[in-house]
Amino acid sequence: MLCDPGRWVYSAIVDRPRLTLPNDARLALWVVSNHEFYELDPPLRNVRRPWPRVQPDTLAYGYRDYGNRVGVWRVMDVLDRYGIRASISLNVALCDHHPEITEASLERGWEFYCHGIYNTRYLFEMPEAEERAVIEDCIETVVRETGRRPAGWLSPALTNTERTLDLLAEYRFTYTCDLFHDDQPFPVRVKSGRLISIPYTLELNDVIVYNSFLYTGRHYGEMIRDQFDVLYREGAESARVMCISLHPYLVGQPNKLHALDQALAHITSHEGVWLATGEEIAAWYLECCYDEVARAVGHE
Amino acid sequence: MSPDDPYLAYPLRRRGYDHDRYEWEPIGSRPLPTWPGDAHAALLVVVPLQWFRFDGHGALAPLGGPSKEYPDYREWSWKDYGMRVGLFRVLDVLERLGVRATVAADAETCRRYPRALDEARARGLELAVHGKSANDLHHDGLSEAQERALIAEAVEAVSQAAGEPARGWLSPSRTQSERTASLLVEHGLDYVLDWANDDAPYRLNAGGGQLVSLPLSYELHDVNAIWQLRHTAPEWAEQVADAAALIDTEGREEGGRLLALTVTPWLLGQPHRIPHLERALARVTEHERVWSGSGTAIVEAFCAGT
Repeated sequence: MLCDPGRWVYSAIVDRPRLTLPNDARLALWVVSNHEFYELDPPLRNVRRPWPRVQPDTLAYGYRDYGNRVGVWRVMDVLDRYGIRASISLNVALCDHHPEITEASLERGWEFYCHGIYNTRYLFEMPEAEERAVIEDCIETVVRETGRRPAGWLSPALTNTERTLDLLAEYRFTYTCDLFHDDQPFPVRVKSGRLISIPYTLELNDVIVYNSFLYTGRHYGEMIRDQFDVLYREGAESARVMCISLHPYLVGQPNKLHALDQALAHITSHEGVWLATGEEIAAWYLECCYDEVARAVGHE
Repeated sequence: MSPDDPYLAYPLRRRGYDHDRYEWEPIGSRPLPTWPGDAHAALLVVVPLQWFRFDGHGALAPLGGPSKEYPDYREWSWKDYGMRVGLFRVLDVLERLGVRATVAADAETCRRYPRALDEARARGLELAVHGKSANDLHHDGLSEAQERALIAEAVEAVSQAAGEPARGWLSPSRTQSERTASLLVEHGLDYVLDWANDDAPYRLNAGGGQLVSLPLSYELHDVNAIWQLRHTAPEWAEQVADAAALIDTEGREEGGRLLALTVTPWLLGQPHRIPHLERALARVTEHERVWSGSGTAIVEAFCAGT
């Protein structure tokens, strides 16, 4: 094990070159919808048990299933209303189980990026050949569904190995969502090729907000609005990226949906907000920012 | 890497689900029920009556049961409050608002608290079966004979208390083994309240029999929201009102929905919470096209219309 990840250089946000978004926007808003499938009876390998209660945990399984039966359709309605295309963080087996969801996502021009096969199969402690097989399966499934190679990666249930980031670059992913250390994209040190992180979010991630911090439905909406107001102000100096990460089984509940709805109404009432997918943000950064930032901060 | 390593094998990666308990029918893809009076939504309120073992610690301990070192008077007596005091307060509020409760009782409660069952029956409320006790969870560690015995005992106890065959089932801690559904059909039950995966009724596959799932909200289940997530009663009430508003709108535009709440006497029956129960339900019933029905009435309307 490493005592320090060693994957990025330290760089204070106030010392970096100014980043300029397309059309001089102050902020790129990136909405992620986690389209997930949890297995009822997954094989067990690691210390983490997908369902810590009794086996089978039909209550916990059904709670996640709510997202696919009901919640995701509500999330689509809300994002449509505000002209937002989500990036879907996809457990690729969902394409096989519930193609209606992936088809409806594709019709909307949403980006598909990889989030493992199932949310109940973890990467940690995986031998390299197996990890490669998982990554290749993800790529092949997304290509089969969309005709396009995926640009982004979020490890299933946020489980990684020490080599995951190197493999992503080798497989020509352009961005990872597994790092939470910034309000701007940033170069990641990998063995070959180029990889950047785009600031994904735990703080504005409904799972964390609702299941770890145990906040109420409405408070999430207040958090989103407050986060936006600060990043929007700072974005006048240098561009900021703001992620809202959704899980339809949570935010799509009838007692929670309006929190998202009202927060998006607030955000989209502002000028200078670029409604972008992760892939678009990564392409902008790689083309317009990467070299200058890498030079300025000493990234090799 | 071995090609038959189960960790990289996905034998159930297929259209639909990785099980056969119910079909893949997302809410926009199936006919939704027509409720009496063309209501937008049916309101189901389940009042669970549970008996917890005083010594029921361990891996299968139910939510809300004694969890501190034995003997844990504090947690046990806290639950007992619901049977002695909270229940009567809760039923009064429901009655005042014209909300029809369905009381789900376990077999031990029927034996140990006949007064509570008499009260429900005197008020004309439907009794559903809530397993043998709060501690008797349904899971794959049970043999078929063990599970059948649990169900038989519970159905018998509740049917006797009701004076008629019980028709609804709520598993303790909402657990189900692979065979629970078919065993419930075998014991004459028509509907289950265990799943948390939809906002309208749907049919379960139950070994050839007919069984309807009336999905109870997990988010608004008071033990989850207030006990587990530590929300205050006013916060719970606000979420119920928000949910009712959206469900009512969707029901008007797209067809009959279900708003299914759990009201637990030891929790919402506390004096400081009861006003918020009343406020929450008033916010639900102020929608003119919300129809309050018992579990059986909702199932019958669902089966007649779909």
